[in-house]
Amino acid sequence: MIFNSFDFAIFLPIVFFLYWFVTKNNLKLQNLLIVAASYVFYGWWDYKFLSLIAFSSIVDYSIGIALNKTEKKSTRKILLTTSLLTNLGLLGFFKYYNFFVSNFESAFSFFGYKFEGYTLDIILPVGISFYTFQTLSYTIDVYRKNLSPTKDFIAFSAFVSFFPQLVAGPIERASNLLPQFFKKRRFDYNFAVDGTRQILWGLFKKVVIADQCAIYVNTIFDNSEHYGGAVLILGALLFAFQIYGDFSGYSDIAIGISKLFGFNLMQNFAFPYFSRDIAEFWRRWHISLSTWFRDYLYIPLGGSRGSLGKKIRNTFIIFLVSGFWHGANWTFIVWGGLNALYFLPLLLTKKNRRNLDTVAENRLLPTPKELLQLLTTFSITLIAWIFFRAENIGHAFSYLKNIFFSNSTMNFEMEYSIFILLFFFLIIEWLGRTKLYAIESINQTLKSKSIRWVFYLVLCFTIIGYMDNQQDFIYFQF
Amino acid sequence: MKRYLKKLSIIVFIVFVGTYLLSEKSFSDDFIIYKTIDTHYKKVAWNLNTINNRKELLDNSTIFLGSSIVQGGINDSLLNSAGIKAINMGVPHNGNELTLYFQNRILKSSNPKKIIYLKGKILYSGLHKLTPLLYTSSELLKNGQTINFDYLRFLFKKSKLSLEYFTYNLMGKKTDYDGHESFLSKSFGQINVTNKILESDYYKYIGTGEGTRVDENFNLYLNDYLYKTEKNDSKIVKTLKQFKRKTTQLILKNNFFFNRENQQKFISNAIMDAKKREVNNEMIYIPILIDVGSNYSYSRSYYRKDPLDNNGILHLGSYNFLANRDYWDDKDHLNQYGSEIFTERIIPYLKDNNR
Repeated sequence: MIFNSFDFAIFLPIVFFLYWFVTKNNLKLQNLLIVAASYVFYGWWDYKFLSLIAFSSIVDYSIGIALNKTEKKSTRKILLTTSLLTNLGLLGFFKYYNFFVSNFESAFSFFGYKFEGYTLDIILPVGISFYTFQTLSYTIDVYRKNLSPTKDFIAFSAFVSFFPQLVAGPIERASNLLPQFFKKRRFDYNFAVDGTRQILWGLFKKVVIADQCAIYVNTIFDNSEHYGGAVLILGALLFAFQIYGDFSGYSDIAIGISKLFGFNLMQNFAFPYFSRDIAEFWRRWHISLSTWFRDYLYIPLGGSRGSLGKKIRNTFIIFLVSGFWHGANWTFIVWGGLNALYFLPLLLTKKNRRNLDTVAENRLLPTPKELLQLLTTFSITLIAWIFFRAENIGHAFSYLKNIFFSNSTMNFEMEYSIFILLFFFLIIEWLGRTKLYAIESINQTLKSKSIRWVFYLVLCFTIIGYMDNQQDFIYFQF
Repeated sequence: MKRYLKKLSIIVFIVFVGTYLLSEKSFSDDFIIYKTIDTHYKKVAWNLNTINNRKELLDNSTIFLGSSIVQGGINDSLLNSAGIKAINMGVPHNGNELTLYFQNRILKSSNPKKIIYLKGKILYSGLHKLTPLLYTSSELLKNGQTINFDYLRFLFKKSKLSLEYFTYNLMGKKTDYDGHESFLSKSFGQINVTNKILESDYYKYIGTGEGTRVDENFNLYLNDYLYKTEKNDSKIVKTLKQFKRKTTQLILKNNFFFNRENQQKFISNAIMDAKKREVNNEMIYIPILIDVGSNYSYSRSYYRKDPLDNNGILHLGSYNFLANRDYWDDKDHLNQYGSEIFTERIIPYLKDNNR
């Protein structure tokens, strides 16, 4: 079930009603309802893969309890390794098995040997990369004694399968989300209104911005050899908005829905295209994943401490792994590598933490210097996005080559309304860049109640107007 | 909570009222043609152009209405050569409301001799993808739709199209009639397909293998909801399987979620309207590949029986003459050669004035 579907529009009010009216004074029942609803939500796509979520939940729940019972280092290590092997094993099998087999074949044949592996007809379970990382965070935190394990299996299952963020994040930390399943939830008007507003903005980003950009992006990328440089740059530019609208839109909807049920999820995007350097971009883009890698991979490896070689090694590891997390394709690995190259000069000159505030804070417009920084950062991310979107490495390089050297003058027809939409979208995002999402403080910007209502209704009708071109969320494939 | 629900209800109410008002906008034929001419549904554009500009093709003619099975399966050119004035107005995908729509449009401006509807193998559900383009909300309700899941979907899709229609008019967009002149001026409606089904698929669906399973599945309701291979299962297993299948059937009957009753209403309204206008009408059954050349050893019917069948169905009884891979485009559609063979077989029936 996807958020911008009719099925979900029926599903959500039913769950909301049962949650607040039928199970309202019983925490256990509320958690049980969340588990049931989450399984229906996921099973709508393919019920067979529910067993994977259930399996992952059982394994990490049991390991959490077992970790609590022993102080013996070696046993604790074995338990942690079991969890890592199980979760990463599942992820590796479903996501990366065929990639490794075919790359081994290529590598062997490159050296003149013959190796015939068996590739399998595997379907990638939606959201496996997200819930796997979420359960891993629990076990690692329990292992590090940063978190006490839970004995309540229903609450733990609800934490693993919580439907708003199950298939595309934010990847929640057990330390933030799990305790919320033990607190009595009371309906809070302001919290719910805030959630509803965030859902509306998320839907706008997904349905109006991302899905409209997708139409042109698909045409341009699928026929990149026929277009000239200007059209190819336009393709990359629109993809940048598509992926931002798609993924941050999903996160907004997920966070908004959670608020309707009394939960507070972490912020996943903080206006990344208003970043003055790539380090700031990575503090603002897919925050839940970057902080996951920071806490569970980068820091254990030594982080930015140690020798120059170690710093370089750690930076490359975290970016390459992050790229690989996105998919079993060399394009993602190169995308990660490219970002590492962008980031490294900042780290080595110790300038990676110079832009910790928001650009042009307390001012309406950026200074010329800031504007130049914003445009430079955005431009280099565009180059990286080409690798992210391309079918394969060859496609990405030919796309880049054609930007500069193509003689093609093939016309590209498009509706100019997309630029008007993007213009208004950017203005609203800019005005709300210090908030958790762009229209969070709309009450202060639009003081008149009636104007606010008109604004909400315009958003609603624009969403309805563009609803027909329904595309899956890009991050479902990861 | 009350305050929140009250505010939310007001917004939802306004959105619904706005959506309903938008869904009341009827579109010009120019816009419908503009939206369909470059798509898989270009036959809709051809139908409208024919109804508006080529009345002579429709008057005193036998008109075939239905899905892609009609569009590709009835060779109207062959029928005309055989002395039967006929026109194929089938449009891809299932949806009796499209049959009703085109019949309404035809009867408004022309005097056909006979209308022949496709007898579907299955009972249709949902609504056709193009319904929001052709109907306004109240027209759809008037023609038999009830307020249900599919109607709500229709409302939103229709509103989206209405907004697009405003920009279409605002920007002064024009349909490229000249660029599609050769297609729109065709005198016959069959869209010929010369593809041939893959050999593996052909044998999969004819006689043995998966085809038998599909056919048996379709006919389970005539066979105690059990496959032949399951007859020797233990009683409890059989009961469980029967229960599951009967329940599924029952769920599928739910008009709120599957719109089946409404689909039947559309075709029954079409039959009634034609009768009121004293236009002869009947149904035709056009086979699909699993109907061909097999000896099935269980109770079977070619199509799901229905009270509307009493109106008369042109059904040849056996379709073994189509047991040739060269005649099929895919498992559901005859290709050009198959349609010629099939059309030749129905000519005597169509010439029979007593029908």
